[in-house]
Amino acid sequence: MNKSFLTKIFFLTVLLLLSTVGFAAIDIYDFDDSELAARFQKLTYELRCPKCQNQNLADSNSTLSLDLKQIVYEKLKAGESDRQILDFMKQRYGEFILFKPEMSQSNAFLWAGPVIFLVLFLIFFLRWYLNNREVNDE
Amino acid sequence: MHAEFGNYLLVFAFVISISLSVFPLLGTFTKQMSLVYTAKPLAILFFVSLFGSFVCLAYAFFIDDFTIAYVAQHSNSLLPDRYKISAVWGAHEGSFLLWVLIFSGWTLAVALTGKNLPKLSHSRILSVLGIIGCGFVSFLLFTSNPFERTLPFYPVDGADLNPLLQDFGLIIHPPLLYMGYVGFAVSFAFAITALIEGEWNATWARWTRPWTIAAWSSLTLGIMLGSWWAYYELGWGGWWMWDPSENASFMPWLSGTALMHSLAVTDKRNSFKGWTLGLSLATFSLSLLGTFLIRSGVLTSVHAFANDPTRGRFILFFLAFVVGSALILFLFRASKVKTKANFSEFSKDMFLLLNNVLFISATFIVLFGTLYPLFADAMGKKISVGAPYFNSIFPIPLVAIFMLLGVGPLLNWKKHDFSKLKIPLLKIAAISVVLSLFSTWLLDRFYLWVFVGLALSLWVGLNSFYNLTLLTKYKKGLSAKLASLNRATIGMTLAHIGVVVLLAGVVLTSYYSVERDLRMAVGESQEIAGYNFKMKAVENVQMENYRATIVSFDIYQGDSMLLTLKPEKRFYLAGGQMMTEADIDATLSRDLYIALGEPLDNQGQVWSVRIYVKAFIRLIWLGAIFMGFGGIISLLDKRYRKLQAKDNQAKYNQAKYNQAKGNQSSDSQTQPDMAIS
Repeated sequence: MNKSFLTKIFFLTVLLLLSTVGFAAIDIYDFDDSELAARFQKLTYELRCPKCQNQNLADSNSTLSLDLKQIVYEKLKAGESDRQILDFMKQRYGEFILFKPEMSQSNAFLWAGPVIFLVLFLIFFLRWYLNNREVNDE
Repeated sequence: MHAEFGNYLLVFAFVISISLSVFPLLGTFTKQMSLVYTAKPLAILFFVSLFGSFVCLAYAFFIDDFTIAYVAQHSNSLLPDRYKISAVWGAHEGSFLLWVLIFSGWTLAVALTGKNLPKLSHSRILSVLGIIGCGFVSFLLFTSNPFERTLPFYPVDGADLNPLLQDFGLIIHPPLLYMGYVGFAVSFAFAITALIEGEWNATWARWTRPWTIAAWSSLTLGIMLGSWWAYYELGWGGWWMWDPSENASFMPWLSGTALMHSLAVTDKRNSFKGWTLGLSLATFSLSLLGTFLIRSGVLTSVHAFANDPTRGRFILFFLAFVVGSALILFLFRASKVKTKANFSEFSKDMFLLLNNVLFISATFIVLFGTLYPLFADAMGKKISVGAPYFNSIFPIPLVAIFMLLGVGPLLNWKKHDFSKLKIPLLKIAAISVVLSLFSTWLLDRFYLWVFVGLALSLWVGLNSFYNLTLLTKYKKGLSAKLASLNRATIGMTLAHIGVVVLLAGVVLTSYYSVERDLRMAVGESQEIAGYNFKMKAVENVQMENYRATIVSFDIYQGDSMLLTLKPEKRFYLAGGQMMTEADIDATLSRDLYIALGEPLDNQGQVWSVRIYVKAFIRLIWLGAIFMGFGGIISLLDKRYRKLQAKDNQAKYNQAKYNQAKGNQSSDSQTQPDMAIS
């Protein structure tokens, strides 16, 4: 008996098993709970595939991101929180893996910078306006 | 032969661009008219030589000349002809040749249409374009020459064009995008000339306006095509991911939008000249920055060109030169200009300036978020700033922009009586909120952002129509009303409606789309969002330059069959790449989208499949198309031509006056500016 014959038998069995289940497709990451599924989607969007050019786990089909997706899936099933899963990934791959940088002290400037810019710009503009106003209110 | 000729033409274009940047400019200062008059023929020659060079490269692709390294790396004898032509701009060298060609096209357009500009200014503008062109051509010639040979050991066949790029989208996306990017060079050159002459007035703004709108419209359509292409070609079902390559084009777009609006203030009210000049300089600088980011490979992007540090260094120096000299000129000339705020807080001026404050802030967000990883890296910290970051910060200025956009177009310049607008605005606001609540209720689940987005869309949309009714209130009958609108108003309204449509599309598609990763075998089916997807058959086919596995899906709604989708998995013969080709059924309210993953058994009867039902995603591109065409329509406004005629009239009078004066005194030659114009 050669190997390909064995694999054929294996797949036939799988197919048979599937056909007894019924004619419905299966979610690759199957959750009973839609809230869990939504969290899975959110997490895979916020995690970066560490090997790819610039892709998140959800969009990437590389072997590594398939592995990581499986880890996220299992951890969600085991009841871990988003925070725990993100921390686990961060510990393993560094902050680089988080597409949404943490709102930590070291990232304070990143998060606050644009808001500070907008506020200062508005203040600057309004001050200029009030100081240089020249309109006759008749 | 054609390779040498194309290369020779590039060298020729280089020499021409040097001449164009030196002689006319020199002539305008030394008052040598023979030099001043060289600008136009040089600009024409610049375009012709680059066009010739481009044709040579296209020809090399067409006849499969693999002795040229660029052709050998990006084409293949099996590649279909239509893609051979678009393969010319399929990678760095050729796409930069296209970039320079389009730049020279803008230069040519300025050369041919500037009859009404003062002669000296016209030549100076062309010279400034020559300087920029010289930078571009030398970059091409010295770091990215597309005509380099593989001789004597040339390959038998080429390595093939990246299969992702063998697509209709690639044929038109880069040309339009580049038209936008380099189009801002024209407003840049106008601004530099104004600064050199130390004289800028409403005429300068009026001249810059159509050029800016033209560049902006091309950029809008170019970005839209890129988004659409990525959506159907990459199999990820998204339309924007804040990738550095997208951000690179988005920064000049945002700043160009600000520029368009501030030009309106400068044109109509003859104020804010320094600010508008600065924005003209900034917008093109951001175009160059974008080029640097994409083509140097300093940022990790899905869209990276082949990386080469010398190229990065070259663009960085050029960028520093352009920005540096523009900045110095600006500081010396324009910083002392005091602008008075001669408008009340409730006026069109005020709203347009707030628009500028917000758009500049939005530009800053994109710039800051895109560059931050570089700074962090320099500090020894590796971090990623991705879509979730931008999605949480970017709405801040955006919401404010939409709130102002509802009101701004309704207002008079200088001062508007708020009491007259108060009641209608309150009514429109109330209708928007109620309608938005009603629609979110219809769409089965309430999301705050959908409510906010739709309410803002309705607010701006209804106000746009209200504005039209106000503008035409003295005309009787619909056709008379429509006929009384000028093209600038129609264009503006269309563009604003486009923004509304786009915003509605963005919020709806973000919250009501469904996405499923499935394991499916032939015969199995799955219900998603009211549609039943049934995997019907798998077949293998052999095409021109690839083999494909096509999996067909029948899609049912209830009992009736709607259609069949046939996503593919392709194996490209020349390069050996596997590609996923999604199949999409598009309607205005939803897209059905299937992309194949990997086969999960040996027979290829079981697949991992990704199925999306994308709600209202077409609205996003439809909105962008409205915006782009809105710009084009406003370009056709009679006003620009009428003002040109008026300029001509004024110049004619001036010339007559000079002539009369010249008869009296012989020293009229000391004012060549006037005598020649």
